[in-house]
Amino acid sequence: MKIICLVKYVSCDSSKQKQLVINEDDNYALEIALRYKDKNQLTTIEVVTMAPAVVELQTHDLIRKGVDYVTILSDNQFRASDTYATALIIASYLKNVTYDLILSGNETCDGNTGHVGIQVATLLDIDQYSYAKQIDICETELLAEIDYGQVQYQMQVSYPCLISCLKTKTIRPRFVKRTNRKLPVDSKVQVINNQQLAVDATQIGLKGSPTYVKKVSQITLPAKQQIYLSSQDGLDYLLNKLQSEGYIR
Amino acid sequence: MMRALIISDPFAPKTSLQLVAQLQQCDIRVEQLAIGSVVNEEFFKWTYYMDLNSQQLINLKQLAQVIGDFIKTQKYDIVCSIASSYMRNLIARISALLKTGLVADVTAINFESSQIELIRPTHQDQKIATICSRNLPLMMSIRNQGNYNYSHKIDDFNLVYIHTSINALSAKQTLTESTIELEDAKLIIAGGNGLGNNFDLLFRLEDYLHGLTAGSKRSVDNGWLAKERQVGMSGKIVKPKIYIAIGIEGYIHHIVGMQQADFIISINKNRTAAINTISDVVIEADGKQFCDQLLMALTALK
Repeated sequence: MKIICLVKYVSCDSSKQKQLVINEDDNYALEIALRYKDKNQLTTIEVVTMAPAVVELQTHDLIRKGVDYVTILSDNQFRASDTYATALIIASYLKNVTYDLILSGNETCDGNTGHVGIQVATLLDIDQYSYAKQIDICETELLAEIDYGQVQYQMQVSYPCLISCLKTKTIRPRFVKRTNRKLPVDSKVQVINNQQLAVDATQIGLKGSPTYVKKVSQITLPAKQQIYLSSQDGLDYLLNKLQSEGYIR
Repeated sequence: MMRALIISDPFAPKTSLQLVAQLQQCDIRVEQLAIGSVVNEEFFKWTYYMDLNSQQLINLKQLAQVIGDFIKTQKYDIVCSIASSYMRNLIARISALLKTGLVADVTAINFESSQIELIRPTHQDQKIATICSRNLPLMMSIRNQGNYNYSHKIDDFNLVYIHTSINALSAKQTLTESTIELEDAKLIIAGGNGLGNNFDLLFRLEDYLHGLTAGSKRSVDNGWLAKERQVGMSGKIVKPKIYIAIGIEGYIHHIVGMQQADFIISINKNRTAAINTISDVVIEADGKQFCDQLLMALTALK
């Protein structure tokens, strides 16, 4: 079984330094792949990420957790691609790679669109499902529980397919084992630029993406004059308000 | 005149019709593509209809192909749906087939300028982005803004049946009847990170006050509250008469979901919390302690 894990390096927590970390949902999906490999030795896991080359050092830890290969797609021409252009770049790489299963997180914390996995699968012409609450990787097919909110599906999906997994509380992503912290990894991480990948540069990046951001503006919230109340005054005020509006009889 | 196609969500036809009503207020021609097993009340004047069962609806690969092929025969400026999970999964697939632009969670559309402009809050910072597309149709999922009613005339539609041959997949479907209609609630009591894992208090307040309990994205992510009770950009957009925000910081993600409430009361230890700036009344108190006191007072009144 060859499993590809798509991950994004993001900086989401505004309170901390703008350090790039692996997107949370993607880390859960990766953990599902690693657990399958724990039980099935013949599994190969490749992590694919489109990212600035600076993440290379961080990706070494993925190898130390049990990932077999890491591929970083990195080129100035890729920068500022929208979700479709990003999918085009990732799919261009995956078209020449063999795999049975592709896993990704359901969405990233910086965009919250969940588009890229879906669009990658579409460009590869394979089945894809988002909002996977539970998956069971079997040898010949995958069992998935898809939770769309108003409707849930329990289904078998044939390989090859791409599944975008929701974060689950039942599993915890692993850390690098102490004994593996200095494991050499260099030959297992490759960085691929667009000279090698040769995606049509007019279709990607800031200028080639189908959508573009015309402007970003500060939100003007309605100016309100607040009354500030202490806890006790607030309680009296709230009870009064709820009573006068008919919520307390 | 610009043409818009709304693909209605087979699992949320009512919300989809509200989107029809919302877009009809703009000076554009609105058409609907209904998929699934639809009843008359869910059609409107310009409707295309694909009759599909639940096992066909989950064959997203073929369904996207069929809808994509249909869209190619028409000249739409925009193709959209409500921002439900199922529709987001489906329309992202269609947009990639059409190699066209896709924007998620749109909160407003401006048809007036030379290009169609989509408004979408950004996730970090307190900012909104205006997004345009280089090609048409521009595809998007739209956040439900609520309160639009579609008035239906049964003899007034021009129904076009589209025959499809989508394979049924072997899949077991379970429908969840959602009883939580935050969009229609008059009183919402919402908690955030500052309330901690104490949502049981809000559910007790809900009982006393006949309001509805809701929460921020953080509280849902922390596993304290069901997703269907989330207010904000990736949750519900609500317009209650009274919104009580307890221990909510007020990231823009949350604020876009509740800023249209008539009256906002914020209970927060932190005087500088962003939500305070849009509140009518700010009560400086610890969320949990305040809930305890409020419950005690309500019990005494009973």
